[in-house]
Amino acid sequence: MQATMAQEDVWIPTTCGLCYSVCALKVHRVNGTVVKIEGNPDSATNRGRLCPRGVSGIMSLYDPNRVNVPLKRTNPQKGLDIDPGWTEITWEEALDTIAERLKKIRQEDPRKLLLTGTVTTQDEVPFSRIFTMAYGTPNGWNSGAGNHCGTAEHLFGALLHASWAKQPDPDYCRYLLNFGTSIGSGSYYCVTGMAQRIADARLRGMKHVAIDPFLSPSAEKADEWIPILPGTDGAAAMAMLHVLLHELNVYDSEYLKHHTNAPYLIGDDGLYVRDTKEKLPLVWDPIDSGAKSFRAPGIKDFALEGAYSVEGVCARPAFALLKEHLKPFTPEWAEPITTMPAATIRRISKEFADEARIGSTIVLDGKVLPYRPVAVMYFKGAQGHKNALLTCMALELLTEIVGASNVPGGLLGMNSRSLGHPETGQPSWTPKSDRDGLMIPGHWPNVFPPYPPKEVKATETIDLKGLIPTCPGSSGALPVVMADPQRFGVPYQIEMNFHIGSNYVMTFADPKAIAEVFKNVFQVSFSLFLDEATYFSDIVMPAASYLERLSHTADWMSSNAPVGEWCYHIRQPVVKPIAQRRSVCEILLELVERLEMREEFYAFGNLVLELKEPYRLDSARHYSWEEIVDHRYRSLFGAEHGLEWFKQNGLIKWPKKAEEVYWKPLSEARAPIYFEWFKSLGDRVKTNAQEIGIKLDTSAFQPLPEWRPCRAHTENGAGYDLYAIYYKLPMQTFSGTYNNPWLDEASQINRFAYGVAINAATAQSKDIRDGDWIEITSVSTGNTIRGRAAVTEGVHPEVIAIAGCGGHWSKYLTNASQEGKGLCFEWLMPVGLDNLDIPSLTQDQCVKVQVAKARVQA
Amino acid sequence: MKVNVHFYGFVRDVVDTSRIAIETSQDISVRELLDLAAKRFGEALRERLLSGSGELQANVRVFVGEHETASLEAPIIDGQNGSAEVKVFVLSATAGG
Amino acid sequence: MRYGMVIDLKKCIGCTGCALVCKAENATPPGVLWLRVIKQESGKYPQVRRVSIPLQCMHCAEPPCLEVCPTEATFQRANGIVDIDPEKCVGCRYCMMACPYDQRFYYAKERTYFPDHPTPFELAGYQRHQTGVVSKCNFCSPRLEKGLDPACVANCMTQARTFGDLDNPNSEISKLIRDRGGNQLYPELGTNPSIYYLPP
Repeated sequence: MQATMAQEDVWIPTTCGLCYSVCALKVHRVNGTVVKIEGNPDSATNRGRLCPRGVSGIMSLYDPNRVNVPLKRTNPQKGLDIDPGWTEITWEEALDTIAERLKKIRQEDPRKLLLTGTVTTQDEVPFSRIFTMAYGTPNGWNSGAGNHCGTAEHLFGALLHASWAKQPDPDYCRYLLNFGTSIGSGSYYCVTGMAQRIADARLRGMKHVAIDPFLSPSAEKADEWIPILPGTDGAAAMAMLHVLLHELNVYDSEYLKHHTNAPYLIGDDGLYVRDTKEKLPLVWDPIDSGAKSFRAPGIKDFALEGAYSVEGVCARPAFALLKEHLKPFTPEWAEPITTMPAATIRRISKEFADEARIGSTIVLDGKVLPYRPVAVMYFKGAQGHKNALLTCMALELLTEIVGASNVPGGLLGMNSRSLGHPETGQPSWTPKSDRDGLMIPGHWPNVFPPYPPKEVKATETIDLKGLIPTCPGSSGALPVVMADPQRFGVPYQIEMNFHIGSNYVMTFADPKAIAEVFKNVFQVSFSLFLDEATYFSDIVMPAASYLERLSHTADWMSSNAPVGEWCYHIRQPVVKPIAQRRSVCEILLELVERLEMREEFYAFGNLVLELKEPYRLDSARHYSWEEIVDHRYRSLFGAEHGLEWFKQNGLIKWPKKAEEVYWKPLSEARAPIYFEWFKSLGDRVKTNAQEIGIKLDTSAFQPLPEWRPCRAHTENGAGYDLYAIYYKLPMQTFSGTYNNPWLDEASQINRFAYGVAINAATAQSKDIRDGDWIEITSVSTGNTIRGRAAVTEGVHPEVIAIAGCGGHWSKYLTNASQEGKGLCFEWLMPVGLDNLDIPSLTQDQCVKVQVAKARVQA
Repeated sequence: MKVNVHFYGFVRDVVDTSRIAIETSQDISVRELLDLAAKRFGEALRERLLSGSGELQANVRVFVGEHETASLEAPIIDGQNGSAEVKVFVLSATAGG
Repeated sequence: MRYGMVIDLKKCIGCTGCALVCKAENATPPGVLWLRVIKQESGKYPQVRRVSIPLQCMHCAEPPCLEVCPTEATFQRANGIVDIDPEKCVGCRYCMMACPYDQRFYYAKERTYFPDHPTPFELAGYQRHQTGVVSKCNFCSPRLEKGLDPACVANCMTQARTFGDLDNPNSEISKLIRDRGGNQLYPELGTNPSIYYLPP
C-alpha cells in the first residue's frame, strides 16, 4: 500500500474562521488537498496551537453539505419546516435578481434593507457594513446578539475599559472571580491564546473562584466552584460591595479620586453640581474647603465623603452616595436570592479585598504602576438578563472600588490602547475623555461607541437604537420592531434581508416567533450551509469559507490577547474556492458596480478602513479585491508590507508596551462609578417613547446599582420548577459547527455536550436516570425540546444546563439534524420587549422550565 | 463661491437629493453651511447631523476637500476654481455582537 | 532512550483538541479515535470536582498486547514505542482484550464521515489504514523522525503535554514527573506505562 507521491507539498499561513478569535494557521496542502491544519508557532495570538474546532476545519471545507452552487427557491411558502424547493441557477441570474431588487429598494427607500450578519468572522460582515452604509440603510443586526453574545457587557466595556471586551491580566492576576464565563476554556475572545495564558496563571498560583450555576468546562478548572442561581449575579456583587465598603472599609481612595467620578459632587436632583461658568462637574477640595471644577489646577485633595453646601445646594460626592446606597445589601440579604451562603459571600469579599493589595505598586517598562492583582470577569451568562444594565454595573463596581481596572494584575481592556506598529504608528487608538472627564473608547468595532450617547431620537431604525442609544451593538428588540414597525413609529417595513452566515432562526430566541417576522421578507443569503435560516431565503449564494478566501482584515480590536505582542495576520485562500463558491467581499464589489455605487462605496471604505494616503481608494479607478486588501495592509504597515508580503510571511507582530496594556494610570479619562447621565437619558427615552405611543419601562436607567429579579425569579407556575441555562463548549461554535463530523465525534464522547446536565438529587426526585430522554418545556414559549439527561452533582439543584446550539432540523444538514445531537435552547426563550433589559436591549436568558422523563425513550 | 455639498449614507429620508450646490458671496463656516442645508431640506436634516447643543453627531463626519473638518466654526476655503467640495458622511452602526 | 509523555491534568481543560488533531494528523477513519478524553467526577453537591483525563495507548514498557499477539504484528521499538505492523495483523483482536486501558481500535470496513461522500482528505489519508486490522497511537513516529513532537503535544491548547526521554533524568518530562509527582494509570498491573499524569 503506497501513499500517493506528492508533487506539491506546501504550508500556507492564514487564519482560522470558525470563531472570532483569529488563531493563526499553517495549512498543509499536498497535491491540492488540505491534509492538516496546524497553529502558526510565530503568532503571538495562539502561539502555534489550536482548539478542537481549528484542527477540524478540514471537515468543514470538504463537507458535502456545503452550498456549492447558487440556488433559487421555487416554493413561495416559507416556514420552519417548509422545504424551499431549491433549484440551481447561475451566478449571473443570482446577481441580476439581487441587483435589481437592491436598486428598486434603494430608489424607494434604502432603509427597507436589513443586513443580518454573524460574528464569527470579522472580515465579511464589517466589509458589508461599508456597503450598507453607502447604500443608505441604518438597519443591521448580528443575530448572535440574541442568545450568544454580550450586549450590556459591551456597553460597560466602553464606559469603564474603553474597549469592546476585557480579560484578567494573565501575567499578574492572583485572584480571579469568574461570574459564569468560559475563561480559560473554549469561548470568549482570543480563545486559544488565553487558554494557554490562564493555564500558566493556574500553575503560577492564581486562585480562580468560579461563580456559576453549572460546573462548566471553565469552572472545572477553578480552585473553588460556588453555585449560584441564574440571573442573580448582580445581587451577589452588591453584597460583596457592601462587605467591602461597610464591613471591611476597603477601597482604593487614590484611584477613585483621580481616575473615576467618585469625587464629583451630586446634588439633590441626582445630577452633577456644576460650576456656573464652564458648567464642569465640581469636586470638593477638603484642604482648601471649597468646591472646584474637577479639571481645576492645584486641587490639593478630593473629598469622597461628607456633605457640602455649594451655592446653596446640598452636594455630596458620588462615592458617598454609592456607599450609603449599598448599606442594606448585606450578604444575608443576598443569600436567599442567590442561594450563595452569606458566609461564603463574606469570605470571598475578604479574599478579594486582601488580594487587591491596595496601595501596592510594581515597576514595568521602567514605570511605577499600581499593582492590583484581582479581576472580576463576567460575560454573557451573568449579563444576559432583564436586569442586565444594573447587574453589569454592580459587577464592574467591584473592580473600580479596589482600583483593579487596567492596571497590572487587574481587569484589562482587550484592547483599549494601541500605539501602532513602530514604523507606521498604525493602527492606533487611545482612550479620550469627554467634557465631563469620562472615558470615550479610542476605537469601536461598530463604527462609533455608545459613549457619549447619541441623542435620543424617534425610532429611526428597526432596532430601536435611535430611541435607546445605550445599546452598544446588536439589539434584542429588532424582531419585535420588525414585526410591527408602525407601532414603534418606524415609517417603513424591512423588505429585504441581506443575510451573511448567521443562523438567526436558531440563535436568537423562539424560532417560531422569528419565523413569523422574517417569512415575508425577501432574503438573499451568503451561506456555507443550507441551515435553518436559509429555509427563509429566496436566493442562496455559495460562500467561500475561511480556507477559500482572502480577507482585508482578519484581526480586529479584541482578537489580540491583552498582553504580550500585537499580531496582525493575513487570511488567504489555501485552496481555490471549491465548485462555484465565491468570496462575499468580491461579490459585494460586483454589486457596487451594478448599483453604480462606486463613489459612495469607496468614500465610506476610505473612512471605515481608515486608509491613509497614498492608499485611499480613488473613485475614478476600479480596484479588485486583491488591490483593496493590498491598500489596507500598506496603509497600516507601510509600503513594504502589502499583500504579497503578508501572503509569504503570514503575520506581522511587535511587542506591546506597558503604557498600552496598563493605560489607565497614565490617562486622564475617568471611569464612572456613578452613572449620572443614565437617569436623564432614561427620562428622554420614556418621553420620546410616549410620544409615539409606546410605554417603555425605563426605570433601570439609574445611576446606582440595584437588584431586580428577572421574570423567571418570580415565575411560580406550577411544575415549572427549574431554570434552564445554556453554556458554551470548546468543540462547537454557536450552531455553525454541528455538521462537522469530527466535532460530532468529540461531542459524542462528552456526555454533557449533547445532553442536559441535571442535578443528581433533582433527577432522582423526578425519576430520571442518567441517559434517560427528558422533555423540557418552557413556561414562556410553551415549546418543548428533548435531550438525554446527564446526571451530575455539578449543577445547582434548581438548574438544568444545555450546551451550545445543537438540535438542528434542517434536512440539508445530514449530520447535525440527526436525533440526539444537542438541543436548541432558543426554543425556550420568548421574543418580546418584556424579555429585554430596556437600557441595553439585552435578552433575558433565564427561563423557567418543566422537566420530565420522556414517555418515548428512544 | 460655489460650495458643492454631497451627502452620503443614512440621509435619504431627510434629503430629497444627495447633492446640492450653494452659492455664497462671502466666506462661511461649516456650521453656517449646514444651517443653509437645513433651511433647504428641513429641520429633520439638522437633527440628523447635529445634536441639540449644536455639536456634530458622533456618527457624522464632514470633509472639506480632502480634509476632515476639526471644528464646525472652521471656514470653508474655496478650491482651485472658486468652488469648494464638502462631503457629509452619516455613518450607521449597523451591527456588532 | 525511552520515549514518554507527561500530561498535566492541572493544565488540561478537556477540550478534545488532542483527540481531533490526532485524527487530523493520522487521518483515522470514523470510529477509530486513537486519543480520547474522559471526565471523572467526584464529590457531592456543592463540593464537586470534575477532572478531564486524556487517554491513549500507554506505550507500556511491559505491554500485555505484545504478549498475546499471535502474529507478532504488535512489536516494541528500541525507543519504547509500541507499534503495529498492519501487514502482519490478522485482526483477531486478542490485543484489544488484553489491553487494560482499552486504547486499541479495530477498523472493520471502509467508512467515510459522510456516507457515500468521501472527502478529498479522506481519499488521501485513508490509504494509510487497512481494514480488518487493529490500530492505535504510535506517538506519531513519522513526526518524531522529522524532529517534531507528536501532534497532540504540539497542538495542546493549554500546553498540557510534554514529550521526551524517560531514561534521561534531566529531560523535561523526568523533571516534571519528579517535581510535580507524576503518576501512571493502573500502576498495580505492572504494565509500566510511559505516560505519566501530573495531579489536577
